[in-house]
Amino acid sequence: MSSKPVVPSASPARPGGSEPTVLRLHDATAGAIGSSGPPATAHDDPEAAGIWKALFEEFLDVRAVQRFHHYAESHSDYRWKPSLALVLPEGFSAERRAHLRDLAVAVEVLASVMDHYSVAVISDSPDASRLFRTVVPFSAASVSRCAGALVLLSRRLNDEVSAIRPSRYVAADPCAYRKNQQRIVFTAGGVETSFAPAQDSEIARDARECVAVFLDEDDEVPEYLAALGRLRVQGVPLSVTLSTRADEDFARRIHAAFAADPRVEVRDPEPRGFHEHCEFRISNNLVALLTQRRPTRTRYLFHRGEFWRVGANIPSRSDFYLCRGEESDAHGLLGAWLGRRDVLAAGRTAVPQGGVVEPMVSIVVPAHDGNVEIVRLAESIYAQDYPWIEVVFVSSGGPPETLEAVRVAENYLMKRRYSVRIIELARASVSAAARSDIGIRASRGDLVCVLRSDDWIEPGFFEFLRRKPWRDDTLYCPATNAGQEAWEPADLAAALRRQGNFLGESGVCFARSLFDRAGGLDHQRHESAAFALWWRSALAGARAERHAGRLQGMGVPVRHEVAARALAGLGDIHEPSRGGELIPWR
Amino acid sequence: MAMKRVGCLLPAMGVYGGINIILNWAVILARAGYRVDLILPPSKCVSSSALPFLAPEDGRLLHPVSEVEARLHRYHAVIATHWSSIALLAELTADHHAWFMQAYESQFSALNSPEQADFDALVASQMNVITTARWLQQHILRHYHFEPKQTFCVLSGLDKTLWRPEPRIPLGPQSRPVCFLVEGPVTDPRKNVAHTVRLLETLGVRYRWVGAIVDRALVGPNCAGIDENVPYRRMPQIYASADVLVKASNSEGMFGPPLEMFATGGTAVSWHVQGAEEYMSDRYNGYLVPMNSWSGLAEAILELVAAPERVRRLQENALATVEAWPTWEDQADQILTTIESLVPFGRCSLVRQVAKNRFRPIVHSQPLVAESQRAAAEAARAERAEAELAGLRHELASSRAWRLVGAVRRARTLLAPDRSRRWAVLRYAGRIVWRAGRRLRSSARSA
Repeated sequence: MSSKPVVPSASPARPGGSEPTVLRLHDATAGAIGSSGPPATAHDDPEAAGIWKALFEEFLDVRAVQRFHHYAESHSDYRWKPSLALVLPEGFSAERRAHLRDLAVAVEVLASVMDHYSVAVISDSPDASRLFRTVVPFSAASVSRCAGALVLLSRRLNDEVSAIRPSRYVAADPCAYRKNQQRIVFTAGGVETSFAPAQDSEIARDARECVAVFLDEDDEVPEYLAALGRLRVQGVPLSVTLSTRADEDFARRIHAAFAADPRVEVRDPEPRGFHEHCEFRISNNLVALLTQRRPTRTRYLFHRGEFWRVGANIPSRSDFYLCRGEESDAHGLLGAWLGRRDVLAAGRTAVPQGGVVEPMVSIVVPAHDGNVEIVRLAESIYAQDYPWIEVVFVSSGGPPETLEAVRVAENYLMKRRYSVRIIELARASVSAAARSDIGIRASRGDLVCVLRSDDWIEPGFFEFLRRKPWRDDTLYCPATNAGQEAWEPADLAAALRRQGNFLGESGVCFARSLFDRAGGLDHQRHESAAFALWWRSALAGARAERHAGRLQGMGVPVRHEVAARALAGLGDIHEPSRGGELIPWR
Repeated sequence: MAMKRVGCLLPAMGVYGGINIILNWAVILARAGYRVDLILPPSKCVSSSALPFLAPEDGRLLHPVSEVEARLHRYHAVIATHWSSIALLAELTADHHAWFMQAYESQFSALNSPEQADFDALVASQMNVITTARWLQQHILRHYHFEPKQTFCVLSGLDKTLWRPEPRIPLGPQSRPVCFLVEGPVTDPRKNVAHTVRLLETLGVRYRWVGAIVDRALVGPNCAGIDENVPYRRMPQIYASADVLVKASNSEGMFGPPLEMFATGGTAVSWHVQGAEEYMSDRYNGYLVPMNSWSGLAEAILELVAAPERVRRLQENALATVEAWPTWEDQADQILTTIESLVPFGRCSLVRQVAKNRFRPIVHSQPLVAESQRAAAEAARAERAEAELAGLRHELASSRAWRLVGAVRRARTLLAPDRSRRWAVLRYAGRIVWRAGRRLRSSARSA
């Protein structure tokens, strides 16, 4: 990869004055029209075809593979389509499993925006040409022809590219050993850290025992190893845990680097005791520090050659990672990636919530099996008067008739002018909670309503949204599920503790922003996942309210003893919220 | 060699975006040497000079004919342009039959209406389908099990002699505020025009409204102007009077208005309706927000109001998009290739669908009619019986035994077909007899 500094191109001067002018030419620096077309994969080469097959198997959503193929082929002659750059550094190797894993994630992210943009591959790596039919050599000019960029494997390169176009460093989840909520590293380039720098001596002073270190592969690893070596010189014992992105090649290098020092323990990805007490104190990847459950001690980030003390002013999550499912929401993704950072920082508060506009409701349907039930549910959604609805079906390894039922439902609901999307998870083993969580994160509505595939709703279910302004701090439960009219925040937690999940598993409407504040669903829970969400929502200040809509089917409240058992497992979540969001599930 | 004849079936002639596309196709075919008949219902047939959208010399190339006349000819291809043409399509003699599908027309019909069923029936006949957007082609392949060789997609070209950059006062921090444009008739529920106007009023941003039918009662102080029923040729100037087109339509085919706005040098903020992906890229040449999300649309509008320089950049990119977009002349080859690539189609399945559609109302309505006639007769009889019973009650209140017997007989005759009512009358009569007996007994005791 070229190491020359990349100079951002200057925008041409804009005409001033107030005379009417005719817009003649577009901004040359923004030009992306017809630059390269979609990245036709090099399928002629059997070896490359094998690699692509393996890449597609890594995708979470099978439909993303279809989308990628569809747009790469059918839109190949769309000269007017702007491009997004996929920048692979010179060191990219198709032989490295870690590199391919990151590439698979990047391609899956791109697949969700390929209806808007085509993809231009920019790289000086010889292996890039093995995988893609058209590869453009890296240069400032080639980057500037694109509207934005995804950079693999190099944070430094990400910073360079971000000086020209909005760019993100994208990588697979470094902490994939966590059973809950897989993530995608999606780090904005050129973001200055808001943390205070920390000296080696401070870390050494603070270390009372063996320090847990997280080590992710990036282009700063040599400097990071040197910094860890300095700590060792000061007598700090280290327990190094490798990122789950690491492959054998990387692990071998790290083992070799510390082979001579018996006081450094290098562990393979699963850290010791992570179930209960694992807490990384030093990391070169902020995601590993941000997603820890119980950060009780000072943590240090290694970034740009030095340590930084991770303080209370944690930056916005959207600058660092996506939870799985969010990559399917093209609008949210592009908003975070290409949108103005000042607008994003201000949050979604520009439009006063409630009253001004009727909210869009996202109905999320996790569908593992069932066929006629899905059609019955679709029919009940079809019969609703409320028009602003999106339906997200999330299926996972179900039988063919389930997929066919979902497809029929899609066609049926499209006639009603609802927005319909299908997420088809490749892994059959994911829990119902995981399916719901991914569906909710992929949804784009103001309100979310999860319905089980064997439920159905009666006409006028969403009529309450037209009667009075909706609130983003309220759990709206159907009339079937609860007896009381409303529960204020203090009452809600007490009522949940006393009565169990009286709100029910299914049919409760809640604001998407509330879901984010509550930290999402716990993938490992099965019968009590919804209950845990209501509980965390109550802790985040939510209230509950009954509405007149009626739900039919299996969405009955969970028995008290089951809920009480679940509550016992939630005993340690009385933690302050962090950055407006509760501590995430591990 | 005889001139190949192509027939386009139109339900009516009018100033609609869809008709414009069909006429452009027809002109291209006519220029290439085909004889193109525009087949219209006899009551709606027009002369060549009355064709909208077209220059007079282009209009003269086309031949509007009535359905009656079209039955006399043999066509190389007949193309239905609306699902309602199915019956006539089966009657016309042609080597190739095709359906020109510009939108997922099933969305236009009322819920669960016979029209929706007819649409599905026509698609199920599996003739050639020519679409104007990739998503439509994909949709029918996915949901209606077509052979790929039977489906075609030709993107609509743009008339760049009409739609070209128009002068605008530049936007800037110190200049005028961003002006939005609402386009569409207030009567079409798919376009959500009334909601859009209300949203812009609520947000307090400046806007104009152009539409075939407008409702002046909807607009408020933020409306800078209303243009109703504007001739097509004047539309570019109307578009140029605003900076950003706002579209909250949730059913489209090719989705033309934003492209036309791009061509005049404007940009657009729109729901991500089907067809938008053909040329719109979120945050590059316009803003696309999730379909059915009013809050998303409101956020995008407010973001553009706050950042005129961003509007300017979107407009520049939008213009670049249009520069690369094909004109109708650019698309001519594809159109001609498509007409020559149509798969021969036996009319059997079409006739079967027509028969199904024809017989459906009869098969479904006959028992219904009988049932309703029977119910009406029953109701009339019950009404008469009720009136009679009321009279009887009055009569029986001061009755004598012989009058009672007569009344009961009449009531039984009247209500004979209805067993339950017959017993009710008997029960009622019995009760009166019993009461009369009790009165007699008590008066005898007292005496």
